[in-house]
Amino acid sequence: MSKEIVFKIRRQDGPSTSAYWEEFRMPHSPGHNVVSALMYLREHPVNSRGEKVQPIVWDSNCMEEVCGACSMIINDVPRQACAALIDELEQPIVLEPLSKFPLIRDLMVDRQKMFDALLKVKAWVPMDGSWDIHRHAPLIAPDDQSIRYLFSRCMTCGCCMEACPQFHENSAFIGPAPIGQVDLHNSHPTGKYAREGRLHAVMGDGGITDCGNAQNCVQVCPKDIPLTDAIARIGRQTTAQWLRDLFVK
Amino acid sequence: MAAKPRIIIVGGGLGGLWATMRVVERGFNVDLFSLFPVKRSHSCCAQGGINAVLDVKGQNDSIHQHIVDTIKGGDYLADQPPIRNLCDEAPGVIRTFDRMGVTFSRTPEGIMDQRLFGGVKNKRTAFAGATTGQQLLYASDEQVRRYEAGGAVTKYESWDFLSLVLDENGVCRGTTAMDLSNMQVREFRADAVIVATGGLALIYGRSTMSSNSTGAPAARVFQQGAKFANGEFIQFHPTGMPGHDKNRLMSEACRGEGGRIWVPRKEGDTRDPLEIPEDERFYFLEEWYPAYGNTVPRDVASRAICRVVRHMKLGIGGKDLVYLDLTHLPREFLETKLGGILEMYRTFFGEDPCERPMQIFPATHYSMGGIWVDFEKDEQTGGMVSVHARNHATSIPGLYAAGECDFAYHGANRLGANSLLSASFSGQVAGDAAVAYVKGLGKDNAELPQSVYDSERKKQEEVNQAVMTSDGGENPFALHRELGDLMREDVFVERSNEGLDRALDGIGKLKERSHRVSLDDQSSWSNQSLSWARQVQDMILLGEVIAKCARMRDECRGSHYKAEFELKIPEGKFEGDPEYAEYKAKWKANNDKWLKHTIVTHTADGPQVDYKPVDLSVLPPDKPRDYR
Amino acid sequence: MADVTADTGALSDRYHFLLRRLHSLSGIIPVGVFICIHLTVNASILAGPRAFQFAVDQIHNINNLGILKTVEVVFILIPIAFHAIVGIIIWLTSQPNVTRYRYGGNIRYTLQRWTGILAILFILLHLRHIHWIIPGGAEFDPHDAATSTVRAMVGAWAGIMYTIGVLCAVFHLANGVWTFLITWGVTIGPAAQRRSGYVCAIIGIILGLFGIGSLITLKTMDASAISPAAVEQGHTTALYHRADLPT
Repeated sequence: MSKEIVFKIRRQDGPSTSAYWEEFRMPHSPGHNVVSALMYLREHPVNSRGEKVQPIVWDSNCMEEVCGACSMIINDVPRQACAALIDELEQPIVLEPLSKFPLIRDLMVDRQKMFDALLKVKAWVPMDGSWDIHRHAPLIAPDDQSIRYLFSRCMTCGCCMEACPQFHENSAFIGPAPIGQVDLHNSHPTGKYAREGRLHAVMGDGGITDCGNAQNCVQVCPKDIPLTDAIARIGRQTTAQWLRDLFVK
Repeated sequence: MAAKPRIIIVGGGLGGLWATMRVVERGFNVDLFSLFPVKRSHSCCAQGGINAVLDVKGQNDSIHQHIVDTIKGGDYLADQPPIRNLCDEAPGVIRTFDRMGVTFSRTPEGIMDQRLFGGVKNKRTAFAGATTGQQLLYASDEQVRRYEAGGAVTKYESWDFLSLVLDENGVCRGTTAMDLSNMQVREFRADAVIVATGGLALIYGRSTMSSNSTGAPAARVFQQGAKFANGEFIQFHPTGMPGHDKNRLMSEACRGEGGRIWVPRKEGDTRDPLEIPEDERFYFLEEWYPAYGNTVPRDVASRAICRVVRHMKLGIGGKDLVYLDLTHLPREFLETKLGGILEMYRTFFGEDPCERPMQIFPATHYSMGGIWVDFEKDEQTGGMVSVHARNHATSIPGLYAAGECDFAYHGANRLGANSLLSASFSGQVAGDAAVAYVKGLGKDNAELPQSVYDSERKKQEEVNQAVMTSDGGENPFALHRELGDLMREDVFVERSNEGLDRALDGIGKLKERSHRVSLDDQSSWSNQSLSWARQVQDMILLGEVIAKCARMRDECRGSHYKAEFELKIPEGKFEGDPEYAEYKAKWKANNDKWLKHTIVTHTADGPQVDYKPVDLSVLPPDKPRDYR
Repeated sequence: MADVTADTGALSDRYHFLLRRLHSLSGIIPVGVFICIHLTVNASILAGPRAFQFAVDQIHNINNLGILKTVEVVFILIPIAFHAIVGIIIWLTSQPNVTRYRYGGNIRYTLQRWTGILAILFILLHLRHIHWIIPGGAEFDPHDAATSTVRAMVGAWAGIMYTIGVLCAVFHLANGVWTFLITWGVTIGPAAQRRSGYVCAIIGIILGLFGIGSLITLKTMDASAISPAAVEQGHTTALYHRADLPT
């Protein structure tokens, strides 16, 4: 095992400056993941030429792969940096920021687009308010619950969006994750009351029809969320909705 | 007063989001501040579940029992009327979460399932797989987004709350915050502010917490006059998985399903664990506590591990580590019972716990203490008045606190699955209270001149400037590491006055050094070093509060343990035995002396510690805590 | 508080949906069906000039109703043009990334776009080369199908163009059926999509064999050796008399 960890990091001081590559070396010790190694480099911001540089900027929070903050491209794969163990990665470890979102600095990007999409598709169960009405939600079959659970674990990390060839700066496509949330909420016994609004939200430009079925989303999802199932189900629901709009209204 | 009162909420975890919902539902607008998109808040890390008596398991569970368990679990050190409301309203909170669409695990009939958790006898914990906190957080986030779509909520994500704006009467009238992209400080007007900024365990360096759970906002309002209470009560989880970045939690279920904790008998034994024969392994929990063995309560297990490692020097390879061994159990059994947990160990440690013993150590987990908050007692019910401006009010008028950053409900020790409950519940109470407060503000509450806001903003800009230009050579990241090392050494599971004095001394030095940093990052764009350097100063300050509170409390209560003041229950003796009666008398005398809240006030000379009686009107402490 | 559940789906948005769904549909009906018929007819050359002429007549006899051109324009040309134009727009909004993500699905996604573009070029060349619709390109004679086609296929470039063109069109169709089933929500789970993938692969292979097989046959056939009698026999065995054919 090498006694050093070598990183090649794509850096950028700000949104309008140009990117550059910088190499870093740090002592190896077992158990490091990419975030813990970045923490070491933050404390010892010296590149492999021995020059003192500005500490690397990145995003992270929970460090146990549930918050979705630390997505970056590690050796060509978009994934959570906290769950990327150094000893399982080929060196030099190449770190790049997600390329489909506006860059803030170094490895940090702005994924507001994703939250905006959740707002656009009305990804919530409509309710009167947060007060107790002394009633539960309607019963939900355990099997349905377990499918819904898969989607409710989506942490808006953006890996699926990054890998999607249809989601980029010049396209209106909202990406796989929000479609998964449409499916999640449409499958709830009271959430489905607002199904029409959600379906209409994904029937326009940039909606469900802009999916190209490359299916990279399911390949890279760190939570193995069956996003393509959701895309197909919403495909079916939107077709039915279109016909309802045409013939029933 | 502005045309429509505005309420600022700092923190977008469960507490902040519930407060937001409540404020909006009562007709007011919210400015919601968070260091990061609120959906990434630390609430998502809670795994196990949320407590509420639904009594769906045929156990005749009762809300009264939930109240008793919570009070006793906290070793009586929590004001009891709010606990009463907490437990009373828990089923309503769960029902509301259910209506929000939370994917709670179901029984075959499609109703919410409930499971057993520590410190209780009934199945009272609703759960959503192994990610309950994440599910509750997301459901709340969705509802707040619904209100955001309606224009009632304005989010300031990636903003660092810096300070309150106080008027000449010390009333909270707004905040200042820093945009973490362009590092600009801005002032915000508000008629009330709710801080729901979560835990502070990052003061211990590595903990089970997220990397943003620094407690800095609590420290900031503390320095502006908010009282801090019961800081010494920090929960340490016995089975953390130490990492370079954080100590990830390995669930208690590992021990529950038969996991054994051991260390090599010989000091400095560097053999592979699988090569150490059975008789050279020291199963210390089983030897010391034959009745419970590996399933002793959290605090006992944590203390035993510390004793073996720190006093007997038997940690694996001389390090702060012991084995949690599941390898004697069949793989299929483990995969069925502990699948998700084992997966997490594999992901983050890269080893298979079915093949090799896990390496664990107690980890700082939760702060029972926090910003002191008030409540309005309902003399008729013995609980708290449901909606009242005094509830969750801090000692600064117009400032409220909710969630882990407040000190309520959990006393000296928190029960598992009560934290998601208290975060959500206290959020709604604080939201209601803040609304009641702004409604009560008269017209005489004149608009504050802009100069007051400007001067607070300038003050904060000067702090930034001072940190940016300081050239003292100290590295804020290194300072944090040193603070953590120091806290884990001397303000940890086992405490002694000698160690705490050493800690206070060390913190004093760190405090001074923290004002002599040199930032490697001189950029004015997305400068994480700047915000971190300021947070480190705040963490050191709260570290001092924790150490000072611990130093002053000469007893053992809940998570706070000093060996020299331990009152041991005489072995094999129960109610009726003279030895037990003697013990009980000592216990009562100790309560008379120490059953009180530690209340800390910030002064220029450091934290000033006072005490305040606990409201024990619901369940007076007649019986010692006894889990035998 | 504003009503946040208000439906904001604008009318133009609905047309976007219609356009994309029609694009998906047009690829199957009629374009896909047409390609199947076309390749099947082509494949009849494998059974000899007589069979080929017979098959061609089956199609061209439709003109005894006087509607061959109309049918060609309405059911073939316009749908292909529509499918092609919308397809080009879709192609323009894609950013293929196979170099980084070498998953099967992604490779097929990328191929789908490029085969579509190549198929468009091929169809244009094909029309120019062999079909009567474009003036000056009328090399195909439905009255003497085999001879005229074999003559048209002389030269290496024709072999290369038709091999590439036919394979692109066939892949595009077979994969298009697979994505069609997803788009319309017929196959949802990965197992269903895997199974439909096998079926589409078989369809693709059969059509591909038809196309390449007929191409090889045409390339190896000697036009001067085709007996007029055989062609005549093909005509007479057709359902309609030769006099009904377009002149």
